[in-house]
Amino acid sequence: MKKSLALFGLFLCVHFGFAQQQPFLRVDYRSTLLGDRIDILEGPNILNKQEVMELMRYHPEALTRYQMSVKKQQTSRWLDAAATVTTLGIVGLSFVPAQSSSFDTRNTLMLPLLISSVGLGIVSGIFRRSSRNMTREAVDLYNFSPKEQKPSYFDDGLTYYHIPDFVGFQIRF
Amino acid sequence: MRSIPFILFFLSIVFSAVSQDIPMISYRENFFGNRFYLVNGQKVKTQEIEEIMAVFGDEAREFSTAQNQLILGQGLRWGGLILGLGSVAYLLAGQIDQRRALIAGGMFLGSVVSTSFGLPLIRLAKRRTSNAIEIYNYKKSRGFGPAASFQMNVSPLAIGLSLKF
Repeated sequence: MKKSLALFGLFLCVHFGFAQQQPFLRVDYRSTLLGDRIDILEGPNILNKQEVMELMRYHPEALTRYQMSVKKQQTSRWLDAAATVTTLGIVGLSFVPAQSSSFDTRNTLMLPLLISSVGLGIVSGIFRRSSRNMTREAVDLYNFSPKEQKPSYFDDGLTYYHIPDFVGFQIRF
Repeated sequence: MRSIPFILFFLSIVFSAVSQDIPMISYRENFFGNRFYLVNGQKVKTQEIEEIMAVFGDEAREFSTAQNQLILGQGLRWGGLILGLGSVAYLLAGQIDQRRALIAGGMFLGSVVSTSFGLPLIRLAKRRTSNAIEIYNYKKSRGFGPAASFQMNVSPLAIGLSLKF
């Protein structure tokens, strides 16, 4: 028995590689009072922007997608705010009494405001959808990217490879 | 001392993830906000998605019920839209008297009720379908299989038994 153990020690360099699983991200959409929100969740926890970027550090492709989606989200939020302002302007103007039939600020402002509010709504919708699609792409790239084997080094000079999703013995020859 | 080889044997079970035979499902939204589904990056019809998801029965069932809910919600929403437009058209079709106004008002009320049931249904159904797809993808990425398997795995860095369930 001791001999076999010695053989183990001599010929096989065995060590544990405990499973260190990469988190699985989910996407959830919420519609709030001002536009909609895209949440990225890890299990039940909502991650903020910094945490997502920290997780995606080793996945540059996913990270660029995510940053693009965040930018698009901000743009759509600004456009939504502008659309809200124009809608409020329309509502306000419709309560202003008509001044005279020849010159009327209400009538001159009404049509441009209507057109701009409709246009802003459509454009913000395009940005919103595209930001959602981008977020999904980023999360898919992150979840299903080929897992990198990052070498890390021990004091004894031996190279130690970390294999994700692995429980058991690594046997090196 | 005798137990050590046994312990070594049992610890050499390798849980290897990512089983390649189960495809990955995702979805995107088109210009009108409707979803289309992607399987390994290729566009696929919704009925085929249900067949692919049948590997995991619970998620497939959840997906198909949510899909029915989505169809119901969209029907209610379109019905509401048609009723609303119809009420306006009916009101403006001829001389407005009490009877015409009452019928148009009733149609408009019906459209409001139908839309207010349809929109939340659509939102809920979309959330349910995406949840089902995410659970499916989670199971796929963690190497859950349709059936349990037990096999020997040899890779350049590790050797052991692969147990998938």
